[in-house]
Amino acid sequence: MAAQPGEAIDCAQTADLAVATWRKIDDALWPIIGHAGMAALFKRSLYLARVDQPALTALVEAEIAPGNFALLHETLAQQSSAEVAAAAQAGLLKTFIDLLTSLIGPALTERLLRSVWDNEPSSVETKDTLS
Amino acid sequence: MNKATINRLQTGVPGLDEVLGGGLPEFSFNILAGPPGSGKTTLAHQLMFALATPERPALYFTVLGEPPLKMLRYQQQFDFFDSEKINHSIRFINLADDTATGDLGKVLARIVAMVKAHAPALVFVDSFRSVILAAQGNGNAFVSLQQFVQQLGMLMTSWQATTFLVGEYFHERDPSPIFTVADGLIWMRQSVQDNSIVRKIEVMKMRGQPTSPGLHSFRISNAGINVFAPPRLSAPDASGPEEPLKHRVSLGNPRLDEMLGGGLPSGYSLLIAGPTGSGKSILAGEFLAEGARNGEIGIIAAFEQRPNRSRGKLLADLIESGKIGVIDTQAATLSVDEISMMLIAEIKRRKATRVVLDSLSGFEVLLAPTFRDTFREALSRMVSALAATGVTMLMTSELEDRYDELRFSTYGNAFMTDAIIMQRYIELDSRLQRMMAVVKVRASMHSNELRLYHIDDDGIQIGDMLVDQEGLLGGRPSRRPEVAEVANGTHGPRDD
Repeated sequence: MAAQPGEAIDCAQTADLAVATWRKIDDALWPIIGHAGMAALFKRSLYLARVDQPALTALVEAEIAPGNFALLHETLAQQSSAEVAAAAQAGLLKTFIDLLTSLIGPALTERLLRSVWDNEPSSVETKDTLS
Repeated sequence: MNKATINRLQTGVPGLDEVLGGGLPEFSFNILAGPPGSGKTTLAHQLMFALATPERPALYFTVLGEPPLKMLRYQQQFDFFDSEKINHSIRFINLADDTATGDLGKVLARIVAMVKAHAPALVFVDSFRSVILAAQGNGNAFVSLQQFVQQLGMLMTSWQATTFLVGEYFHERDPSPIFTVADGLIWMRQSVQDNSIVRKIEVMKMRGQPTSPGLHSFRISNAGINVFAPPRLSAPDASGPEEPLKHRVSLGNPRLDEMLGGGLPSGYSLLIAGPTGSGKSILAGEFLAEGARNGEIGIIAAFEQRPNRSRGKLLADLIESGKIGVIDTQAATLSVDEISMMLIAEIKRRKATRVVLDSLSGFEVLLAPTFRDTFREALSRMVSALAATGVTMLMTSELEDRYDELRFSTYGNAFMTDAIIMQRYIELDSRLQRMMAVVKVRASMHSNELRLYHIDDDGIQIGDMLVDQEGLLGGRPSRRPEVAEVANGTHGPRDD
C-alpha cells in the first residue's frame, strides 16, 4: 500500500509504532506482575476493546504467547487505512490503561508506565488519557 | 579489640523497634511467618516503605501466591504506600515464571541476577511457602529447600542486604531447617476467643539483642501496623517524684486532703475502692477539676460511662475546653498495653500531671477475653510505667460489699498503689449511709478515722467521725455501750 500524498504514515508504520509501545509496556510490567499476569491483562483489554474497535475481533480468540505482539502487528497492518489502524491501537491502549488503573489506581499506573512514555513523541497525548 | 558494629535499622512500625529490642539488625536474615491474613505482607510493605531510600534500595520478590496486581491494589490503601518510590527506591520483581519450573536453582539464579543488577540493601521474598510448594511439586529438584535457604542467606549477607522471607507456616513448632538459618524470626497470628479477634506478634528469635518476650498485640489501620509494646520501666528521671512527700496535690476536697495527711503526695497512685454508687467517679472528677483549677492538664480513661452519657457538667465543660483529655476506650479488643501506650503518649503530648482510670473493674470487662488472664500483671506494668512519667494517678475499683472481710479490690491490685481510700455502705438509724476511710498512704502519716459522708449537688460532703459507733466495717454498727449509757440511758444495749 503506497502512502497517499499528505498522509504521514501508513498502516505498517502504525503497526510498528504500536508494537514498539506494547513492547515497552511489557518490559515495564512483566518483571512486576509476571509474563502470565501481563498476558492476562492484554487479553482482557482485547476482549473489552473489540466492541468499539471491530478490527481487533480476530485477535480475541487467537492464541497469543506472552510478550509476542506479532499477531497484533499483522492485524493492524492489514487495516484499510492508517486511521483505522491507529484508532484500533488507541482504543486498545486506552482500554488497557483503564483496566490497570481500575486495579491499582491512577498514581501507581502512571508510576509503573512512566518509562514507556519517556522519550516518546506521543507521550503528551497518551498521558492525557490517564488524568 | 574492635568488634563489628551492628547497626540497628529503625523499622518505622510504631512499637516494633521496642519489641525487637532496639530495631532490626542490619544485614540480618529474617523470617516473617504466620497464617494467611495475619498481616505479614502488610508488615513487609510497611518496613520496606519506611526503610527504602535511593541510597538503600529495596527489592520485593513476589512468588506465585497472591497475584502481584492484587497485592499492589490492597497495599496502596495504606498511608505508607508511596507510588513515587516504586521503580526508584523500591522494585517489585515477580518470580512466578521461574518458580513454576519447580527448579529452586533457577529461582535462586534469578534472585542473584536481580540482586547483582540492582544492589539492594533490603530484599523481601513473598511468599516463601510458595517456593516450598513449588519445590515439593517437582521430584527432580536439583537444589533442596534447605540448600536454597542456606545459599540465599549466605548470598544476601555477603551482598550486605537485610533480608525478609515472608511465609505462611502453619505449624510453628515444626523444626524447619529454615528457622535455624534465620537470624530473626517474627511470628504473626490472630487469636480468636469468644467473638473477638486479636492480632498478636511475637519475636521468637533475634540474634544478638534482647527482644521483648512473648506475644504483643497489634492493630492494622489505614496507617498500617501499630504494635503495642509493653511499657518500658525506665528509672524515674530527675524531674520525677524524688521526694514526693515534699509536694502534695489536693483532691479538691479539703476534708479528704486533711484525712490523707495534707493532700495526696505528688506522683502517687491512689486507689479508691468502693461499692457501686459510692461516689468513686465523683471523687475522680473532683480530682481532675482541682487540677484544672490550678492550670494542670488531666487525662481520663473512663471504661464504664459511655462518652455521650453525662459525666457531670463540670467535667464535661473541662473536657470541652480541652483542660481534660479523654482516652478513647471504645475499641472492642482492648489490651492493657494498648491503653498504656495511648495514655503515656497523651500524657507526654499534653504534659498532663493528673490521670484518672475509672474504673479498673470496667477496664477488665472491656478487655478482649484473651488478655483477661494476665490482667493483673499487665496492670502492674502499666501503673509502674505511668508512675515513671511522674503523674499523680487516681484509679477506682468496684468493691463488692462483703462485711466479713476487708478487701480493697477483686484483683488484688491494691498492692501496687501508693494510697488507698475505702468506701462502704453502713446501716445507721434505719438509713443506708456512706462511710469513707484512708487505708494507706505510703510513707506518710494519715488519718485512721472512719468518716460519714454524703453526696449532694456540690459533690462529696465529708462529715464527722462516728465516735459513738463500733462495728462499722461489719456494715451493722452499734453504739458503744459506755458511750450509749452516757449519751442516752434509755437506749437499749447492742442488738447482737
